[in-house]
Amino acid sequence: MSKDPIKVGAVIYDPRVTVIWGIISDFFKEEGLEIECVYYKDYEGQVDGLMSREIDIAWNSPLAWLDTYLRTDGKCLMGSMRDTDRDRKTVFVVRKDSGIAELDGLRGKTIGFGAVDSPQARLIPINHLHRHGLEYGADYTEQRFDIGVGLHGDHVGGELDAMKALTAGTVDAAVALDLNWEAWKKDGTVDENQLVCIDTTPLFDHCIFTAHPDFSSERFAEWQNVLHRMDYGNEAHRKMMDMEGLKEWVEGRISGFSQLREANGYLKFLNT
Amino acid sequence: MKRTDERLNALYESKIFDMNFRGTSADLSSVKIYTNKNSVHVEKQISFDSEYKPITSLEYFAGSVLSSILLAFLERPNRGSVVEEIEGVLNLSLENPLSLVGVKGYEEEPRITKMTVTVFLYVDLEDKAFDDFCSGALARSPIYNTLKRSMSLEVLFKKLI
Repeated sequence: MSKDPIKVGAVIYDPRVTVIWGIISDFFKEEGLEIECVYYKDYEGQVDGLMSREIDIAWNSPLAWLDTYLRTDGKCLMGSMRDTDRDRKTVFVVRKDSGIAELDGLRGKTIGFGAVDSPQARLIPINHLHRHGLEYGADYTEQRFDIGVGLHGDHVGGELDAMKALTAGTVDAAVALDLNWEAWKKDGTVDENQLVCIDTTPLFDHCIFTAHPDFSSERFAEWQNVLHRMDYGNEAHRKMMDMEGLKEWVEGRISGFSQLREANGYLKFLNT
Repeated sequence: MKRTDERLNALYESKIFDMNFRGTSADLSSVKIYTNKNSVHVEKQISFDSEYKPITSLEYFAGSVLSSILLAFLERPNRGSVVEEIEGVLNLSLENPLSLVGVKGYEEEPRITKMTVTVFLYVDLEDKAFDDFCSGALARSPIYNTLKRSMSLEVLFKKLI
């Protein structure tokens, strides 16, 4: 088996995030498996890097996973995800005084979405509306908040701006990832007396490690074994895990991406 | 006979004070900078880790700017007024930090595009005299005088009451 460092790709929009990858690198080195981190500006570049074998493994957004999946005819290798990547949902929020109590009440209204390529704040909720008989481009007006396009909604700015627009009354509804909605209610960013969630999407999954189809499955298994030895009880690991928002690495699965695949088919978003 | 100071002014030493520094790297990962009688060890240009303890190049730089400006008030020769309290805050903006950490797709040069220094001081002077005192002191900071020509460097003065 090759002993070359495993090249792992990550999309970085904040230099502080490199600290996370530094901790992961150090841990892998201690465990006798060296990795080399390669940083990308956006997910499209990262998937390009995976396809050209510039990297072996990519820390992918759900949309980047789908892009890889489609580009490799489904042959890419599925890796681990964070515990917090599983079973997420998107919330649909309106003002309490709007009189809107269900999704159908959004017919003819303006809905605030996140960035154009955000799975949780645009693609999946648009598909959810479609499932409930509200067609994109016909039954409501999309007001998009394109912050950090290329980051697939990693940057919270688009969702937050949509929520602020809802509070200000310039849109009739806004969508956000459940974790963000809960955090904003807790820290006072949004006022629960003014805003109310009227619906949620079914559960879906978020980020996942994805390897190139030609990457050795033994090495990928070795990588995952080491990754799963990261321990929240270890102070150094806990720092990284808190920054990345997880308590443990768990087995990956692609069943949680079905809504996104459906959304991609509906919106024909990825050019494949 | 010509005045003595005219002849003095013709001397290089009377116009320019040269300083030399030497830097080495024994381990090829950090550098040691020798000053006149001391040395400083620098491991990184900048750290994005909030828990990183050693002083970085950028921190030394910002510290130099701020200390030079504050010391210009305290070292001011022939000063008629006495600074009784002084404190300063420096804010800087580093553009293109992602180039610095090697993110593919970011090629622009990282650089400090803006610095703002706010000096809070107590000196027993009225408004106009206070302003004159501050600008006079600032003019004696060689680091300020150098940087103001090359970047956006704003210095604000706040009178402590």
